Amino acid sequence: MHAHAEQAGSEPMVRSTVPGISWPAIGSDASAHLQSLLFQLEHAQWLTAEQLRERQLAQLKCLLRHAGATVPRYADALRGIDVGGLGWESFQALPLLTRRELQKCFAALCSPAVPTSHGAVSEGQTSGSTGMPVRFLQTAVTQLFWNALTLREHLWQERDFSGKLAAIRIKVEDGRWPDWGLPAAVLFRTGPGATLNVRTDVDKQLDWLVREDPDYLITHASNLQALAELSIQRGIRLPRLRQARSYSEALRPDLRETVRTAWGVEVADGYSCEEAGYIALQCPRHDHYHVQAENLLVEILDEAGRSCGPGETGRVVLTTLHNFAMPLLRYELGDYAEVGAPCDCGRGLPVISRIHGRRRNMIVLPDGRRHWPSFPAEMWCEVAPIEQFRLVQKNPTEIEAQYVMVRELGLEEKARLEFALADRLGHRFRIVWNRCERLERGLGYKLEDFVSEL
Amino acid sequence: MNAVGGIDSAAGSGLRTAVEGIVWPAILPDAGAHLLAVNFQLEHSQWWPHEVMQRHQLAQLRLLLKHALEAVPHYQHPAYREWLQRADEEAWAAFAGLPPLNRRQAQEAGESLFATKIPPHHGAVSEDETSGSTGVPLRYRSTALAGFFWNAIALREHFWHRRDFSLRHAFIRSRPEAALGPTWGAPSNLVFACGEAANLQISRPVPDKRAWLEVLDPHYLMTTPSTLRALAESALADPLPLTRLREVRTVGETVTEAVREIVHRAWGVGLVDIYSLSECGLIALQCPVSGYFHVQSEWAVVEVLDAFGAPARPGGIGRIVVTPLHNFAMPLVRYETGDFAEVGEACSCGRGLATLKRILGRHRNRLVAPNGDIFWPNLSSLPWGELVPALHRFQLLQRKDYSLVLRYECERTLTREEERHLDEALLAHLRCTLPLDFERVATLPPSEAGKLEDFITEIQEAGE
Repeated sequence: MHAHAEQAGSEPMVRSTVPGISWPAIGSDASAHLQSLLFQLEHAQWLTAEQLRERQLAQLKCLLRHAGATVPRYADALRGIDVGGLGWESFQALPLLTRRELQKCFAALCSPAVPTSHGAVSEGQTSGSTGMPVRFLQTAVTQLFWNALTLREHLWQERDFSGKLAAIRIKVEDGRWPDWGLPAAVLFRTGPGATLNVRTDVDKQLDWLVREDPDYLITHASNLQALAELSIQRGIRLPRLRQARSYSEALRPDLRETVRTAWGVEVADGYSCEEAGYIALQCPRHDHYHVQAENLLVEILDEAGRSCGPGETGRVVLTTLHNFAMPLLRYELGDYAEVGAPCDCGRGLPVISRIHGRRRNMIVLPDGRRHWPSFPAEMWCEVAPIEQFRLVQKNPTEIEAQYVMVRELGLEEKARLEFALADRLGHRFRIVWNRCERLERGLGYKLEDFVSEL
Repeated sequence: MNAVGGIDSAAGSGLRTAVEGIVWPAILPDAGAHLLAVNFQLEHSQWWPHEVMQRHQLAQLRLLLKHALEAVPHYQHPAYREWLQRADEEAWAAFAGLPPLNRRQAQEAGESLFATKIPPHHGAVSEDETSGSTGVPLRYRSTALAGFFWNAIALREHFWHRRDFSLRHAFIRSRPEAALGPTWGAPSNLVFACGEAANLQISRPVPDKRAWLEVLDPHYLMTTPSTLRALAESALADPLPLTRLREVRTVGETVTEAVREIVHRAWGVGLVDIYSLSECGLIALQCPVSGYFHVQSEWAVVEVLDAFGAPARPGGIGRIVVTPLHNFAMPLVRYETGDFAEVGEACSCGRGLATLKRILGRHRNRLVAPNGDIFWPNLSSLPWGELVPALHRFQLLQRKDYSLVLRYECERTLTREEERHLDEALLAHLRCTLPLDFERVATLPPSEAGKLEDFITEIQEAGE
């Protein structure tokens, strides 16, 4: 399968910044760097699995040299290891980094000597649907890769950039925009965009979608499910919609069919995490996922720590290849995934056939309104050193807040958190606080930060 | 797609990086990133169907013409203004009605073809003249931006043929000599930090070239077809083992099938040709699949016109007329290059870029019979080594009175017997009965570009 067979249908138009030159376009430096990476990615995807691993190893060695020399957490682990002669067996003998360690050893995982060419270093926090929020560092380089892979996903799915894109997600302001925003609009001439915060009641979201009438919709998987179900119930179609793009959660098995029934379109799903970037993107020809091997190394390990084969499910373990501010080596994300057989599309990128990640319930307010619950890590961390939390909706008016912490929350802390929760949830629920020794995983392998028993 | 080479040279580690510790995928310095950025676009556009390509060309052509009307004295003519007002549906038909600009007209137009102002960000303007194998050279101007596109397409040519930039490249060109250096030079060295290359002056005698190549033992060799033919003939007479050689590349002269064959016999490798003109840039590149030439439609509108000025059909031969789309220092609209080509069918590779099956050379390489018949003599296909082993090099010239003279380099004058042999063979090959004289010369003078054409005519055509 050659790239052109999939790409001939779309003609993304690159923005030109040189007067008199419209095509081929000369873009800004930022655009050039994105295109330069996309050009490389376009070729790399067709390398064989062995060739990809060889190139990953070359990049990994650069990262390990840096980590061994500058990152306290890895100084010991890598001491005495001949990085130049490192093979996969030695790499896989390195200890795993758990999410709890990442949470507790933030400082020891940071490099105090990031080369200046990696650009500005910034700190982020997971927005927290796992109940175990983590802080992390990123650089301009990791952001560039994030942007390039966002664009790869658009290109794989052959989206028409002249269409309208609607996004219902966290961390967005409600509004209408002249283009799709970053990074697509840096590179391509795009149609308009519209955004809505995912905390909006689902009924109102659907009304908004009818008004906006987009070509593409991007939102969280469970929110997409709720929208599609409501759309069927209310008999509403979205006539211009060409595709729905889901992210951040594992798909319920019936999601694709529900979306097809509701709007007659397909779902394209992506698998990412804030601390490591894109992990896997849906294959342009199948429902399964291709690991973004140019961005990170993904191991899927069984309980004994051995690599899983096709058809087997194991823990997702990541090694970011380009984050020199906070290298994550063999980081156990907390998700489970099933390894897939090599893909007949011809890409050598490894295949994940299923992701058993987090899946969210919608929160239900006493008046029946529903929305996708979001509890950013900052909300908890600003108040108290909470390590883990989970909210369980017991009935339409009451939520049990389970948490793991070295001590009990104080009254003032509880009051502040209740205030913050009321703001996030759109209603002042009665909160029942429950400090636990530890929180157990649910049936979906994954620790959920919100569970509804309704 | 997964053979090592091209962008994946040196197993993915050959790219230049601007960020310490990031080798794969690489983050290039700005200049290299921009070159890859254009190649990212070219990678997509090469598969577009003809109509889509034309739509994009038209948008760029309008910008070029708008600029020409605003800033280039030569184009202050109502025809161009009227063309700009045409609707898209009729623009191409109307474009074919714009006056062609032949080489002589371009020479006469002189500075009136130069833009009096250039939009920002097109970079510095440089001035040069064509190498002029015959006739008066043409002075031309181009912008740094046009040079950038030349480089981008030069890279595309490398990528198409999946060259491994970590290997060694020999150049025998008319450039200054250069000892073995750490890269292939621009534009490759803006993107890749690997490989080695050296250049030998094309004017050096064959024994020097042989000795140099033997020591260098390159993986790739680029030179002119006539130099290549001389080397291959020499290698067949006295083996020149270039065991690492993967491909030879040619530029600057017309390549015949005979040159391809002799190269294959000498070293067992293929030949990849580039069709370019210094005043117009890279016009057509050889397809890696079919061997046809793909017109570089993202850079120039290329027409092949028959004797009546209509587009030649596949299999037909016509004049190559070029409109480079991005050189705002000296817009050339429907510039008659003086070269001829045979139009090809749609290419089996799937690329939508139009094809030229053969590039036949310039008007001066056409033999004209007294009855007006025209054809391109393929002299290199004759068994020269068997006919006259003593002959070093030759050039067949057609005089204004249609007669022919074979000028040759040889250690002695040819015998009557040898002349008779050649006379018979040549006239049989040319299928004509023109008078043929022989003239021994000390050295056949190559053009300034180091070209030696095996056939030239003195019969002038308007515009040459």
